[in-house]
Amino acid sequence: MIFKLFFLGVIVVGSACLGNVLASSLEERLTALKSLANGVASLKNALIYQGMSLAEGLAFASRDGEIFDTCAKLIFSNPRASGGEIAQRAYKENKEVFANLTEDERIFFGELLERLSRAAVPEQIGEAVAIFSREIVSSINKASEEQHKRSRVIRSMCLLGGLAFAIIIV
Amino acid sequence: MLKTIVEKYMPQGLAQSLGSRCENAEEIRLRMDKKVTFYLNGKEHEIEYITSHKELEQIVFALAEHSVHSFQEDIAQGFFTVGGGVRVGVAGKVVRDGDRIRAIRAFTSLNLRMPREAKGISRKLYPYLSSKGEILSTLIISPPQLGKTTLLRDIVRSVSDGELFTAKKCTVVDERCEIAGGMSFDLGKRTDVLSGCPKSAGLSMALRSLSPEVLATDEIGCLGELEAINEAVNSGVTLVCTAHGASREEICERLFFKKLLEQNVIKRVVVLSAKLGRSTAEMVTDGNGTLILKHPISLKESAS
Repeated sequence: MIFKLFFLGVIVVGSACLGNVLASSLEERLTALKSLANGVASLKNALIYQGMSLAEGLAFASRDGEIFDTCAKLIFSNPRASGGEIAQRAYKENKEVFANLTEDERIFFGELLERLSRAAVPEQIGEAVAIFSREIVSSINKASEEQHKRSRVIRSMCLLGGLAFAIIIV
Repeated sequence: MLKTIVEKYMPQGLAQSLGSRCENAEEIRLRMDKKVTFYLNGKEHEIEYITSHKELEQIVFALAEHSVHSFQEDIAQGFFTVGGGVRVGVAGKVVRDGDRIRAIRAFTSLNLRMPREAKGISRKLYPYLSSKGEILSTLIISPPQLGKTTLLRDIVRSVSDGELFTAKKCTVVDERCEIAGGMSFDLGKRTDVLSGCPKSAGLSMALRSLSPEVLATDEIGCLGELEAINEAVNSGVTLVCTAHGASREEICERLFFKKLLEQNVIKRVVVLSAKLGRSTAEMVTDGNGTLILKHPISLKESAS
């Protein structure tokens, strides 16, 4: 009897853990979006308050995501290319770093770089970042809601599946 | 330097047209819908390439490393300085904010001026600019393009390294980032550089924090700088500076220089001309106007 109860416990706990693991994979997108938002905030600070160039600012923000590092390297090696072109090249050359972003979000990022690369006064940088932040915050909210719903469903399904399996076996 | 800039920042077509012809050019001029010209040994050369408005804008953005905003204040004054001390003069539509010039946009002309380094160019002036081996406060007067910044740079290097002059600690207040050229020029081993710092603030700052024995700065002439210069000289610091002008007489008509010379701040005035080619020392006078060097000498010959 004790052995049966122990076995039942193992199956239930195991399935709950599996549910958590599956649910956490959904968090990757949310984490990527949050990193992108943090990186853009760092980029804005670097450009406005530290007077860095766009490439230096992107390199400065690279601790918030490889996406910034990729773009910084591309600008350093192609100073003639505009911000929008850099975003496109970065996507072509390193799709992995954009894996957790939708096409719309990639376009917003490209537009942000284009606006930043053409900004003539610091106010334009603030505005470009504000436009991007509006979009990305809306994406974060949507992703957060979706992740919350889906993770609850996955966890419940795994737990129920585990229970059913345990009952059948035991 | 120039070749790198052309290859890296100019549109490919223009870079190919310029090729290696402009490698030693002193200046490149790009004007909207006009042929590109460059100046070599004081002579104008034209190439068969017409720059469009869009290309001019692309060049500005590329030269500014897509950070035109960080050059905003410089651009509002009509120029910005990029790597290696290359000064980019701009013309276009001025954006005003009341009386203040806020920015320049819709660029129609660009003028890329290459800085030069000519080590030893100050050698021939040593006897006139020193007393018992020590550099005296000096003002270098010259029209544009005749080598006043080059001469200033070499005087600083020479004093800082103790070459001919007695070695002294130097501080360069490099408002336009042209003297040090982003530290790409040799200014000697005892030189500190304040880059991008307004002259009046920089001179006071340097005095307080870097304890210089010699202060050097380029293109003085604003009344606001007079107080800082006086403060520096009264603290026992030697000043080496430059000014735009064709002659001592012309300079003396301007209030700033009139006051500067009246206060006996400047001990030597060097006037450059093109009489014997670029970098000719036309005359050297003391602060009161007494001639010390009466006949023009070419400084280029002593440069290595």
